[in-house]
Amino acid sequence: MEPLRPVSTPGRGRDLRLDFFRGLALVFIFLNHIPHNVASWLTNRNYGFSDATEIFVFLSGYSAMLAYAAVLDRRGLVVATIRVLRRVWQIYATHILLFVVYTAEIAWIAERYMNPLFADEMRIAEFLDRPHVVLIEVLLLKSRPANMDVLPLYVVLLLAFPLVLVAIRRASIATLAAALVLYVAADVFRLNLSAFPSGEWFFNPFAWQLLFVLGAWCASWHGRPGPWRRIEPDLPVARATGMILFAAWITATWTFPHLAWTVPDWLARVIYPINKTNLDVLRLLHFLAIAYLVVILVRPEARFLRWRITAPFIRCGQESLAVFCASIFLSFTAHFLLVEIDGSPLAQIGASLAGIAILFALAYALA
Amino acid sequence: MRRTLAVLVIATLAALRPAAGGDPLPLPCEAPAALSETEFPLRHLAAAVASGGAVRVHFVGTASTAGAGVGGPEGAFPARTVAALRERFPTLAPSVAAERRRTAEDMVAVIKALAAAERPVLVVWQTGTTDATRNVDLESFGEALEHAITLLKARGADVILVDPQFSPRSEAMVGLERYQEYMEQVAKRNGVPLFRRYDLMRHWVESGRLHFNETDREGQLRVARQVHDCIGRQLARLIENGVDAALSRPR
Repeated sequence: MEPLRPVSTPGRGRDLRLDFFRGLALVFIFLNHIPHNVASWLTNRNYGFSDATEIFVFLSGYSAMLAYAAVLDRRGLVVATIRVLRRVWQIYATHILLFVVYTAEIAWIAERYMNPLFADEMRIAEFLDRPHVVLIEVLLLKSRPANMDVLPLYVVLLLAFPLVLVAIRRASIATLAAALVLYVAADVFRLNLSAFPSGEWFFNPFAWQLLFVLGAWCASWHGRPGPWRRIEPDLPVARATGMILFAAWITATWTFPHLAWTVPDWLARVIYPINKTNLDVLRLLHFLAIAYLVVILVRPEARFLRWRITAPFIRCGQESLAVFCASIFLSFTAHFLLVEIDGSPLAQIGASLAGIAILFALAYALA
Repeated sequence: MRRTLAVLVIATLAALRPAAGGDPLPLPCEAPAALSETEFPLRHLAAAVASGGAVRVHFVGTASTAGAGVGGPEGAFPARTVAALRERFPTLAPSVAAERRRTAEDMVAVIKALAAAERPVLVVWQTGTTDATRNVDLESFGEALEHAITLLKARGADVILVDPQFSPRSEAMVGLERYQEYMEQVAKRNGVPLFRRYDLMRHWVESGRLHFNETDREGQLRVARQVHDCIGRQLARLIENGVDAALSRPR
């Protein structure tokens, strides 16, 4: 049991690293959500097991802790819970709005180009055939299109956050242990939320909660040296570097199939398949390795955080919900324009740059 | 229903036209060699063709294996694959068990029945799309794949997995890429070849040689037949590659 103590540290400025990396993750998610975008080669996805989703979920837990712990201290649990629920409602409403936009776009494509060659792929036809049935499933977050999986996950994680907040305050280590147990149980006992018309959530909330809680737990040390600071960095740095190099090698064999022979059979049997749904342990470890190195290497007062080019990323990180939702809408639009008008690599880069510019402008407009 | 009938009628009429079945095609089927190569040998097929008797190649799959949109099985990739192999392996004959909207799990039953009824030499298994459209969780999907692969291997058969088709438009509707990547990893884990139909079609689309902008049935049918023919030729390449690997690396 640890004593109750304030988490926010007045007097210290905002930790810009948090905003910067969150903003960077949002830009990465935007680029990755445009299918087959050449610009997504700039993101971390192609160089290791984990991608921007891990960064986003972890930092969301981190900033939720910073924001709501302060409310908890000043106004109490009831007000903090109400604030969290208000946020949940915003995200939910945005998700539904995005679904409507998405459906309009897909319905247009399906009407116009319904090609019998793709008889199996036309899932949207099921929606258009019986919208009255599917609509309920959409409202229950059970049915959602590809690339719209992150917001429902965020809704569920945030709904449970008041509990996490209190638990971390009361029993910090026990909460972390409970999150770990749930993560393992999700894998062993196949816990997941069900989807429509069948199957389960692509981002299993019972597995992904671990990163969210871990983020919140790390934030509970905000402004003080966390336990990870007390370890001599030599060994963990070597291990983290080893993990990142290992992941870079394995992912290189996906990009270049003729390198596949470098992965021995026994290793293939051990590591494959790497399951994103349950936050495969390789993805988790890879993310932790990156996070650890970043924390060790990037100081809060690092000079690049003050550069002019970093400022818009920091702004995006500060307005993350609005920027995230806008990025989903923009990635639909970009993909639509790329498919229907011009899909050349140059157009992909143009669409990516235009989208990023709009996200930056939005972040500044909201400030 | 009426629309379906109309499609069927048009498809049948188109299939009867001699030109539609003919060979010279505007879509060049070439693609980077890596997309239709495999490091895994097809030992059972190599042994069966060497012994000289008739060999059935079993195709199990969904709509695309059945020939949806190409006006019948003779234009679909299973028949095109065997046709492309005729010169080198004249004794091969296709046998197709395909039905639209079946998940990998559904097809495990089909494969079980197939393995029980006869001793298949080579099973080409096209799957993944229905699982993607139904949000089947990746773990169950992978287990279904592994189950059938293990079963077929135990019966002395070679297996080739065929991943989903690519189209820029279905990418907006279905998260196919996740399933395609997962299939690739399951294939590697089990040491069976994966035929990269997804990457091949994506290559043709991105290099500007293939598009699905036709809005009339006639045009759609023409494109579909070309795609299936090219897929057949590329799959034939992979099969030859697997047999060569078995011949050059005897156990």
